[in-house]
Amino acid sequence: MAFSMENDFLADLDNHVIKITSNFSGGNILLFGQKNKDTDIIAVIKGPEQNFQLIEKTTFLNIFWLNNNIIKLPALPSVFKVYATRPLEQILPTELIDLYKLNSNFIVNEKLIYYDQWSPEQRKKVNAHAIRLFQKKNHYTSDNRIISSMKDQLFRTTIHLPDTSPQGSYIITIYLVKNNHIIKAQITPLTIQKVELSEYIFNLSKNFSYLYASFTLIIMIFLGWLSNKFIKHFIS
Amino acid sequence: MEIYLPIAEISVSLPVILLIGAAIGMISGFFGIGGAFLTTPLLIFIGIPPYIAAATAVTQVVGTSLSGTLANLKNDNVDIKMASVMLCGGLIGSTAGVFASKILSLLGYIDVIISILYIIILGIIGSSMFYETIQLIYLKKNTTAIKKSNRFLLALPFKMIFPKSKLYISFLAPLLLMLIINFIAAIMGIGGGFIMIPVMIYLLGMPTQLALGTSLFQVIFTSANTTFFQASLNQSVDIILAIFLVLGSTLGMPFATKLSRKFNSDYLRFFLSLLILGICFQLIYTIIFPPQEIFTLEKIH
Repeated sequence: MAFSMENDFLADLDNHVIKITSNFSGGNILLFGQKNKDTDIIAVIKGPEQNFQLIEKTTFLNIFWLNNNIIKLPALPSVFKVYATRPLEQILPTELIDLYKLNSNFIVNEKLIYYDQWSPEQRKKVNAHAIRLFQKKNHYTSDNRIISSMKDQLFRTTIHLPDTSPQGSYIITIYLVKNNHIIKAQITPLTIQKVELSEYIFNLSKNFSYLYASFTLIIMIFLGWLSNKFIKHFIS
Repeated sequence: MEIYLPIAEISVSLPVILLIGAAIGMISGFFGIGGAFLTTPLLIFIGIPPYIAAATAVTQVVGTSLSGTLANLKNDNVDIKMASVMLCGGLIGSTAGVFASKILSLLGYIDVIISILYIIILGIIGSSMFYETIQLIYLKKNTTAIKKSNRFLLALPFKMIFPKSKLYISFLAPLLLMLIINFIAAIMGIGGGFIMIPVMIYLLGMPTQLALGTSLFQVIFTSANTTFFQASLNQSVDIILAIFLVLGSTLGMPFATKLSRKFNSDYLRFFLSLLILGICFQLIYTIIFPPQEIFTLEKIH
């Protein structure tokens, strides 16, 4: 990306592709750019949508704790992270945070509309637990990560994606905010893809599943035989 | 040292996977069971999604049970005729169990049924085995459990000779017993070796070493069947994870095999009863005491 002082807002990533190799343990991406003075930056990272379910244990006959309530959370972003130059509440009014869906609270709560028989307290409780568990896996941010700013014009931050991030297309939306209003936005794509052995195994499993199943069994039979030879040698 | 699992979509510590494999290999080598019922919770504990953990644990059993069976075949500890009859019942039972579990899950409360079944079966098998081996080891008294059960099974028609096991019983006895066990095992999502072995010893009257070998031989086929089904239809088998689990178990098995030779079969059954009772109490604990985490979040496969 070439910086130009005529442009008041530019943002980019140091890399648009994260490759999942056999020793992949998560990836870091540098988000950087240029902005005007007295403006703020908010960056939202959304991973590919996946279907989730929240399972609640309840007591059965007041004795046994068992999985009972299954709450479906369809088409939720697998990763949802928000980064900003200052805490979000200081940059934008709550209505705009909700309107632009900049809060994970809103993202999960939106999926609970199907449970219209629930009380507001129950909705709040389920919402809080779902977000807490996403945060525990480091898939959602627990607070608004800070984007560092130099001379109030250059900004940068490192986005961490955990090893459990699914492969697919990620969308990074960067908002330029001034006086409590979003004045510009830019979308930057990021792809996480399996490569080499990981890609080969994944594709074989998904696209040629019977071949994959047969291959798995052949490998297991071979290993079983090899294991027996090793053990025999070791014992004798 | 981390390794990425392409199907589970998570990276795990390689030494931890090898250690889990070694521990399961030791248990498998010592007791002659597949050990999937122990592998699954351990894999879930380190963060592997439950449906991948359960399917891959069974895949690993194909490798470990084949390795164990080759040794048992060499030592003449497998009754192939008995295993063939059992396998017929086993495959029918497990297929019926898969369908039954789907119906039960639609009706709800499948968790209640699984947990209660698990506790009852483990409790009965574990405590009766524990009682019997204590009588044998400390009081040198032989119980009448085998005779009683044989009397009931002798009433069944279509008797045949199983020369290896030195039994003259109806083929319906092992067939029906394995049908029921595999039906329950399929509902519970386990291999069922630890239920099968006590049944073979106490109800059919097979010698301990032969029961261990024959059970393991049969497990190769039932676990291969489940692996094929899980890998092809559900895409839930992680081959990288299974390979390292088998390698780990290969390291653990020789120690257990050497150790098991130092004990006679009464002690082996005594230790197995302790293991079964331990799992039973652990399960009672987990369902009676309030859990630390009431909610769990899962990706829908």
